[in-house]
Formats: sequence, structure tokens, C-alpha cells
Amino acid sequence: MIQPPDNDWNPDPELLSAYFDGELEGRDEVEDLRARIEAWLESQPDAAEKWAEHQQLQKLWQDTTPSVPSAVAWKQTLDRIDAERKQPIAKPAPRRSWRTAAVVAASVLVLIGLMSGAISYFKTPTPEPIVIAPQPEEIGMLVVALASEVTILRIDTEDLDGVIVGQRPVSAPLELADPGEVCVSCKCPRVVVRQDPPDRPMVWAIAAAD
Amino acid sequence: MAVGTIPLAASDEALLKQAAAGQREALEELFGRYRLVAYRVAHRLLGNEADALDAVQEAFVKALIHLPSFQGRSSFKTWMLRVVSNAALDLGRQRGRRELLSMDGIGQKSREEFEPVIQSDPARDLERQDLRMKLHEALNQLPAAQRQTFVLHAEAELSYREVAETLGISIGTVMSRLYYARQRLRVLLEPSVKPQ
Repeated sequence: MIQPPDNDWNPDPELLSAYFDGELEGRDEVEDLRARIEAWLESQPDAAEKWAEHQQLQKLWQDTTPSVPSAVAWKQTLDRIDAERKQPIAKPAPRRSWRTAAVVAASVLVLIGLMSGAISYFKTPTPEPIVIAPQPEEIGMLVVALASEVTILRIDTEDLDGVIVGQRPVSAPLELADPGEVCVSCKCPRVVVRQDPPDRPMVWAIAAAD
Repeated sequence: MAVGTIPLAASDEALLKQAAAGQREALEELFGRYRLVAYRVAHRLLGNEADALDAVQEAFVKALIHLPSFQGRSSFKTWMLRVVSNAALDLGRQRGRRELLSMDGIGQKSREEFEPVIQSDPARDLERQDLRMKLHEALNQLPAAQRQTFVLHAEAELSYREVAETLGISIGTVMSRLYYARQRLRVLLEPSVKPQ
């Protein structure tokens, strides 16, 4: 049964978008829902504009449909698939047991210890060279919190290759995840985490009082 | 495309098994059925033909090698689209990182990378390339999950239910991701999607 339009009722914007997509099917009382949305749209002065915006994005999408590869490109791709699937899958190397690995590691450490002891016994000590690690300023990075002060709460992706925690391996920018996949929280009281909009976390430090 | 001894009405599942067993004709038939939709999805996620074809290749090889993980629980099309869209996102991440790490890759992508189109009207072609580049840049600003959901719906023309099945998420999540993706795209592409 179709309900009369309710003046206070507003469709959820996600529901309205689904209506524009013709995706109300499968919901309970779909006819009633459709009638209510249509009645609401008729009462809205900007309804035509909402619909036009929806259509405009669809049109833009269709206008930019990727062009089709040539027959040669398709053939080359098919040949590569055919060749690749015929290659035997490399079997992973058998894993050594932890016990074996531990024994090997311990033996190596003992050997290194003995050798360095012997060398230092026969040689006069020389001062060790001083290695200066590149400072954050040198690589254009502003540190606002220590690694121990930041907790990664959530990483929203199933197929992320890995996350590196600690020293950056290179001085150039390294993107590990999209901003929307990272949620940042910080325990340090002098560091503020702002997430506005929520998919773009931003971290900054408050200057310490003198 | 030659079909050899493969009956035209052979099911995707039968073709997949035959292709995995080494039958070239079965592979050709299966490839012919899904190459275009797989390519378009990959192209939307990667922005150029060469990378998109690489993703299609990777997806088909994965499909053949990991046949047991298919098991006919979903349609081959939705399974293939899941594999190809994941492969495209992975490839995009890898190439994005390489570009960032390389001094040469710091600049903006040139218009030529968005494939030259040789058609009759050069002005219209340029305009279309420009639009394609803007849309690709806007899509790249969406979170990966939203981007994948939106492309599967808009390019592969999957229904909400099919997208949900493909990605293993609820219809409500599909609805929400599509809504937020559109909102963001409208803001990013404002002059191009303003109703006239």
C-alpha cells in the first residue's frame, strides 16, 4: 500500500543516489519507497538540479570511455598470457626450522666474537670513524612526533603489500597507502591530529611553551 | 578469433578449465568474452593503455593459475573483475611509488600518456583527452576502495548487488561508497559536471 507523502520525510542522500541509479530493487516495499522519493522530489525546487548533476557525471564518464586497443595489442597480450601460464610455478624454498636457524645464528655470532677479540688483541686500538646520520632537516622532513608516540589504529586495505615502521629507507617521498586508508591517532599531548575531511589526516605539533 | 573445437555456447567455467589445462582455443574464447570489460576497468584505474593491458594480462594469468580459488561460487565475470581491479590497484601503487622515487617521475603526467587518439576532429579529441586526464586525476584522489567500487559500477555496469558480490561487501557499503565517490568527484570536477 502506498503511503501518502510525509512532509517531514527526507530521503537519505545515499538512498536518493540509489534511486537515481535505478537501484531500489531488492529493498522492502520498493514501490512505497519509490513513490515517497518521487513525491519528495516534486516538492523540492532544486530536485531537477540534483538529477541533472547525476546525469552530467554519467555523461562525462561516457564521453571519456577509453579507446579500444588495436588487434595487435590484444594479440600480444593474449600471447603473453599463454606464455606465462605455461611457465612452471616456482615452488617456495623449504623453510628451515627455527631451531636450525637459531643454531646457525648463534654459531656465526660466536665466530665473529672470537675473531674480533683476536684481532683487537694483536692490533693497537684506533678511534672509530664518526658516522653522521642525515638529519631530518637535511631530507626536508619535519618531525612532529616520535614513532613511539604514534599508534596506527587501522589500515583499510586487504591487499597492501606491507607497512614500513621506523627509519625511512630513502630520502625521497614514499607513498605506502592512500590517505583514505590511513587513520592516525597520537598519544602525545603536544601533538594534535586533525582529520578534516576524515579521509585526510593531518598531524602537527604545538610549540612548547618557554 | 578462432574458436576451433570449442562450442560457441560453452560455459565460462568449462572454458576456464580447458584453458587452465592448456587449450589455446578455450583461452582465446574466454579472453574474447571478457577482455574489453576487464581492460576498461583497468584503464579507468590506471589511466593508460599499456598499464591497463598489463593488469588484464596479470588477471587472466592469475585466473588460470588460481583456478581452485574460483570454484564457481560467483560468476566468472565478477571474479575476473575483482582480480583485474585488484591487479590494477596494485600496479598503480607500485608504479606510483616508482614515479615518486624517481627524479624523472616527479612532474605531472603528460597528456600524451593518456594515449593519443587519432580521429577526425582534432579539437574534439584534445578536449576529450583533457577531460579524460582530469577525470583520472580526480579518481586518483579517491580512497582506493571508493575508486574500485565506483569504477566497477560505472564502467563494468555492475549492479549494486553484483559490486557487493564482487568485492565481498554489503549493498549498504556499496551505496555509501558510491555516494561519497560521486560527491567528491563532483567537487573535484566542478566546472565539468555543473548542470547547464
